[in-house]
Amino acid sequence: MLELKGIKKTYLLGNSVWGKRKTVEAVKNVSLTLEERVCLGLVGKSGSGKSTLGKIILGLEKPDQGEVWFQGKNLSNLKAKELKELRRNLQVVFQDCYSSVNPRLTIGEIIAEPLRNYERLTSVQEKKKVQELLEIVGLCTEDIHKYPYQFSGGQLQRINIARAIALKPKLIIFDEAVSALDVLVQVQILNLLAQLKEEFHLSYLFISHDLQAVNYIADRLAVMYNGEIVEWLDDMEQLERLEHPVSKKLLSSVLLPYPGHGSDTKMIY
Amino acid sequence: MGQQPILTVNNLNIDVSTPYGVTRTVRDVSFKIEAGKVFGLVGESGSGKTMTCMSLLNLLPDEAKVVKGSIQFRNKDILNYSEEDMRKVRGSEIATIMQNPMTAFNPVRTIGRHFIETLRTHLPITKHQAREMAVAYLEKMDLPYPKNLLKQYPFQLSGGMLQRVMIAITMSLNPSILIADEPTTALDATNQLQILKQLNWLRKEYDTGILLVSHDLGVIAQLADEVAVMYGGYIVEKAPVFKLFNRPMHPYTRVLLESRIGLTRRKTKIVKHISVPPPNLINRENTCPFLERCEDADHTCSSYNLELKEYEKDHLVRCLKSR
Amino acid sequence: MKNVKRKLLSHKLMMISSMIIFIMTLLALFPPFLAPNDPNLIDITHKLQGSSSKFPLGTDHLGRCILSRLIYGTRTSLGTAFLVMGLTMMISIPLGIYAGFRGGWVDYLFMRMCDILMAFPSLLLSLALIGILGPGLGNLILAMVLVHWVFYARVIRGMVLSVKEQNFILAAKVCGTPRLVIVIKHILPAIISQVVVLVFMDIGGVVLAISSFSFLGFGIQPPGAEWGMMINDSKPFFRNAPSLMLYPGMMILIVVVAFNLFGEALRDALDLRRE
Repeated sequence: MLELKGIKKTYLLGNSVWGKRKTVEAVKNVSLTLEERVCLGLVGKSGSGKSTLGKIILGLEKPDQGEVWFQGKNLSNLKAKELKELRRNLQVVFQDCYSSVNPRLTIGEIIAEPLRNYERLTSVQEKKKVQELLEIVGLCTEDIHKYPYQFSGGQLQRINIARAIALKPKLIIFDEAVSALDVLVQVQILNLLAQLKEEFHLSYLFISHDLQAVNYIADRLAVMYNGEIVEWLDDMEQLERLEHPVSKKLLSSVLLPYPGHGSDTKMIY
Repeated sequence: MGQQPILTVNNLNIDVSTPYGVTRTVRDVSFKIEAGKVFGLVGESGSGKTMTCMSLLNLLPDEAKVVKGSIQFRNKDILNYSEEDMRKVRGSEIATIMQNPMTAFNPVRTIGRHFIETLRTHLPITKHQAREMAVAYLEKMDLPYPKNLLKQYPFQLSGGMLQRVMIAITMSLNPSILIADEPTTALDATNQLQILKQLNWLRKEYDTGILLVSHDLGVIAQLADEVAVMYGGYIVEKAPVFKLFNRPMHPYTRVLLESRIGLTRRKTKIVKHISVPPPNLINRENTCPFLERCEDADHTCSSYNLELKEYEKDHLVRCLKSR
Repeated sequence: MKNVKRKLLSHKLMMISSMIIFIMTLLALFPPFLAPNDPNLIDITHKLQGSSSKFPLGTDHLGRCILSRLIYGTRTSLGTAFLVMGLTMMISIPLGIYAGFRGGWVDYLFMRMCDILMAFPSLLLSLALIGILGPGLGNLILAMVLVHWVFYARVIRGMVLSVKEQNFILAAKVCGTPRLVIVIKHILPAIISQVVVLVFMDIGGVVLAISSFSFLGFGIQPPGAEWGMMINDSKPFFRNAPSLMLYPGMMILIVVVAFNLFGEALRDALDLRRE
């Protein structure tokens, strides 16, 4: 459903007029495919190019090289109208739930934004639809008139999810979507995501540095390091089989929530 | 045990005034920190963890006030200290590392300048001596090329590196207590372990008592000797780490432990996902803060006066229904 | 405690300055009803008189009522200042938002143009423009707008840049919101309060600039009443009748200070709300 072919993205650093500018290769030659109804976990340290890759797929950044194919079409040579129609199937949830919503709008307006862009609904229909969405993500229908500051981080992330599923997309990209939340809330959101995936036949690209969360929700795993995908894992049951040193390091640095695992005795010092 | 605790918090109560009323942010919190031990404080955001930390440094914001209780540091009550006395204690005796290391540094000053200035405000040494000391401590923290590091600016380092520099600066003054408020939350998984290892080394090498605050059970399980679970301003359960994880008694602790994912795969069972907002602490009565979310609660709970009871040796729980 | 004190102080300043501005606005809007005499009626027999019941603040060298001229001058000064600011914003806001939001080479070109225009002192540039266009109120307004819009457009571009990278703008793009709608619904509301503060903080400066140009004889032409021109007119009589120069000077001072204080109080109030 989604296919990346040789994606490359270089950023310029500073603007020196004299001589060569410094560059950073955020993504070097990444190719990947994502089938329908699959959750692909993309793990890596910060600065490994995961988020840039996500932005390229969303069309927020243009790749220097390579192609993004979505639902059998190359996104870079589509007409604006076709592109817009295709993009409705591609949504996103960011890490920072507070800055992802406009603080001046009500929850109703926030969730209705994608609907207004693609569907011609009367205000009654729109309200009904927004209330349905609120119920799906586990919030009250009365919340429709409230403002973002009246909600906690976990609740705001639910609102962001409601906005992302409003158009019934095919693929949602989660860019560290649970990393900033409390553990308990993280699990609730992950469960919600798993449930939505079944219910609406969604595909996810789940970007995170946290192997625990990725392992919990993903069907497949890609490990990214320095702008490249260094290892693939098709079966999450075989996590111990990861071979690349980067993957091994990620695996070994998971903080297991059980005392005695790696504490005092096992800690190197 | 048997050791004299360095820091003892007794019956701490903190109120915060907001435009909507008075929030009972911290209620009846008591704990001790001993030399070379790590005391873990777990809880969700808004449970009063951070306010407790701030009060230990006498750094509460204007709106917050300690209404009851005492904080004994080496048998003297910190709350009675003057601003001048407190400044001497802060940093050299009680040190902190914060969640976001980026905001702790001034972006236009080099690491070296931060380090040397901190050393020289607390110790009577020359610039040269301070520089040598800085290099030595950065080396102890396993930071590569310490001499170059001193010339760099905060933005040139990663979050994990900065946090380690922060720890190095803190430790150079050899404090007896270190308050680590979510020290790993803003960091990548690979850096988290590194920081925890360093904290562990510190308490062994320097016998520093550490107050480790986190919402992440993984962090607590790795390092803490004794754990207190905070909810809605109260410590709802307090026990040595193995006891707490093996035999949780408070319903909230149980929910928390059940939500651990670790590296197990998601089970098919899906927990009901109605989102429950954190308890409203404004003008709240002395009832159980977990009442609304508790599965075990019944009519007796609402009339029950909260008390922390010792169910086993060293295992304290604040619940009527604890089993 | 400090907070409370600051709030109160800012409140008091806000009250005083907004009262002054309110009175000034009244003076500017209804001079025919408020002025005791015709401001342009020349009566040499009554020249340079002290205050009397007919002329509360006396008369000038041509026997015109000073109070009336001051009141009519309010209309010229404030009216012109707001006109200049309004026209400037009409250029600056769209251009600043366009450059900031569009980014890329458009932004680069815009910034270089700003650099060039801002390399000259604005007063000098305005003077040169008036020199080309010729004196007169219309040309003065034109020259000031042409010189000042660059500065504001640049500031607004900066505001847009800081809002543009917020996640909710990205989210809006992803869910298909057209660019114009993003600008109107998300970006404009986020910066408009800052722009309003900027306008009020600077309008005093514009009043001052207009008076300076009129003092130099480039602004409104006689017999129209304007504070800067009144000061210029009274120069030869400074020794005998210093009040002639004092009154319009006081008016300029009060207006400029009132607007500055109002702007600052406004900024504080908005900051507090953000906390």
